[in-house]
Amino acid sequence: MNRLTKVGCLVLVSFVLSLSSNLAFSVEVDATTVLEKVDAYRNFKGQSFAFDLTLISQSPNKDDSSFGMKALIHDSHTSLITYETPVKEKGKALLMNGRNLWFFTPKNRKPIKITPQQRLLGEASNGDVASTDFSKDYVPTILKEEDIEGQSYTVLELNASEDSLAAYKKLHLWVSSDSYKPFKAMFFAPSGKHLKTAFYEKYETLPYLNNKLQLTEIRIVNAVQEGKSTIMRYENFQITETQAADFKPGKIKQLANQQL
Amino acid sequence: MRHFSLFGVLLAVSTNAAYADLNLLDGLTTSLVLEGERQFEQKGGALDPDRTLVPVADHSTRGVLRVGYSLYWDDYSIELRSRPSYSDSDEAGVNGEFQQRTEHFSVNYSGSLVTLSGGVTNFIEGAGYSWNPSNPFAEIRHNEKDNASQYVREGDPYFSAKLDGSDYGVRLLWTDFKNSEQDNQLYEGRLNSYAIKANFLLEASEVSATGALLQDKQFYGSSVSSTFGDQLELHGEVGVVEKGHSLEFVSTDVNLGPQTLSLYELQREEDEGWDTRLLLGGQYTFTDNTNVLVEYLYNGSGYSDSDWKRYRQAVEDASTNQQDPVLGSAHRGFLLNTHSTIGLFRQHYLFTRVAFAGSGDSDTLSLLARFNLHDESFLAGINKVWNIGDSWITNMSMNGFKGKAYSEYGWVPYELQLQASVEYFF
Repeated sequence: MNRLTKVGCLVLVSFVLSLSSNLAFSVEVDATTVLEKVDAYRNFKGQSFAFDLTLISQSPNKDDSSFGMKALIHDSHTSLITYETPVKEKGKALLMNGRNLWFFTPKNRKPIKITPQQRLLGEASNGDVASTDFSKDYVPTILKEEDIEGQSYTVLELNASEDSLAAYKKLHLWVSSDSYKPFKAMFFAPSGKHLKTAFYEKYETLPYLNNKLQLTEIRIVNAVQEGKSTIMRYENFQITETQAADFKPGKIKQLANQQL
Repeated sequence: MRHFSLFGVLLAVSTNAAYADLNLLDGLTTSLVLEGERQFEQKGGALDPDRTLVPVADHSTRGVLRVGYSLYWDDYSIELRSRPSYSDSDEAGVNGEFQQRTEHFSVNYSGSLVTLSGGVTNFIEGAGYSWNPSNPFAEIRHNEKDNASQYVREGDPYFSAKLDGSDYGVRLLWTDFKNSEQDNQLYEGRLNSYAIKANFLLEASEVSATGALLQDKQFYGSSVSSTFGDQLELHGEVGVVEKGHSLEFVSTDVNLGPQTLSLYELQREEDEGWDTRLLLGGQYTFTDNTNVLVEYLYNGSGYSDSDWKRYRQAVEDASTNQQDPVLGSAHRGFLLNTHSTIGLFRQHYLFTRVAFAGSGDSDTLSLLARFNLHDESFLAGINKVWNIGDSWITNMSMNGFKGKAYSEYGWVPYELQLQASVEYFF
């Protein structure tokens, strides 16, 4: 091989490498962009916000149980959820600050440290309620495009980023290819076991918040125990001003009052 | 009762149309609890084999009105937790007793950095579940009943100022702390106390350090709790307290002419040095939400093996001679005092609890046990909660105490406690 041919080969290899790396980058950017657009239906772009939440837990051969709550979200890892109804639950609260979680009951007064695994209610974990920001916790990649009943969806695989506080290690997320609305998500345990599926069922325009289109209802179906599901219904979104310093065990009652 | 007067005024004001924008009833939570308890005597314990010293009321029933109230306006708030109750038979077998306890009443100002608070309260703090040695104002908890009682005891007067940063807090506290019955043998009445507590929040950890002056005793404590992954939480607490006084077991020989008898006493004595108390524990939550908690307790002020041997001998002697015409009453007094110190008698304990279902969930079942690692005596309990509709909760629990004739839990007056309660929320 003469010197000119060697140089030519090097240029060609460099070109191919450069092209492939650009392509890979382009796919990654697309997945990230898709996820950001998904999050826009679930949060308010870095602003603190509050909402009322109704959880309806459904089990076979049992009456539905309904719980009314208020959620105050400082960011996806700093939040307070207080129980409003039924009357016997009133005053209970779940405080999340990073990986620190406390459960508070008026009867005990002392906030009890709990593990993130301890679920909020029915099929809904604290992460399901408070984590409204996939982008911060997960690295997305595009798995495939899929058509369901004539609608085209981009299927993302989200893997928890290193040291993230993600509630799940991995999930698959179906996103409408034209509107970027999340359609459904399958959540997996670290072992790969399918834990539950979330269906993002209802979107509403919020006239008092610049006609923002907001996700307002999620149905979570237990993948292991057939027939068990939980509906999460969101209402009365408000943009709030909160301080991270207030999300501490000693300030639960004061913070809860801000939600009233 | 003064708190109730204030409460009544607030309720009256709530009907005034001028205050319509401040809904004074929003912060009111009330429930009525009816509870019954059945106890079965423990026989065979060497401390009181015939149950003549500490009679066990075989049953008691109680009605409790739990009242919680909070009112917030601007940066100010008032909080109240109170519980008037009526018992038809208390543990001493006294019929018809009305009690009014105010667990908490406070007036608070919460600025952006500083929170000022004053009133009466119980200080229930620390990472541990079964014991909080890092809390200078924690009472000794002998069993799960005591564990529950700590939340409903009459609050102590206090004033505190707290500075809050984003990931830290510093609190200065004054309180006129009332000792538990057990600690009263060391210090009578109230302890004029001051404390400073700093706590820090890290991403997955909470750390606190406390320094306190309990009248004339220094106290230092620290607590840490960390979460590892989604399922594991580990915690530890340590407290060192200047002894000042200690409850010493004293044996005195009494010459009665033809014979010499020993007289035993628990005497409050001046003592130097420090007592260390330690708790190490952790909890693991399985994917089905079953939670397992294990805690090891070290009680530095408990009897060592050699002290225990002497003490046990004294109990044996006093128990045998409690009918002695001359020293019998002194022996019975010694045995009675011993009863009141059952709980953290010794140095090494293990506590464990398994809870099925979790926080906020509908029905829970929990099993628990505490082992005295010296004499293998233990308490074991089971508790079941049923939620009925939106307004009712029922609860049934059973605690059993088991041990040899000369063991700590073998000396508990009852071997079985059955409790049932029903609570209606208004």
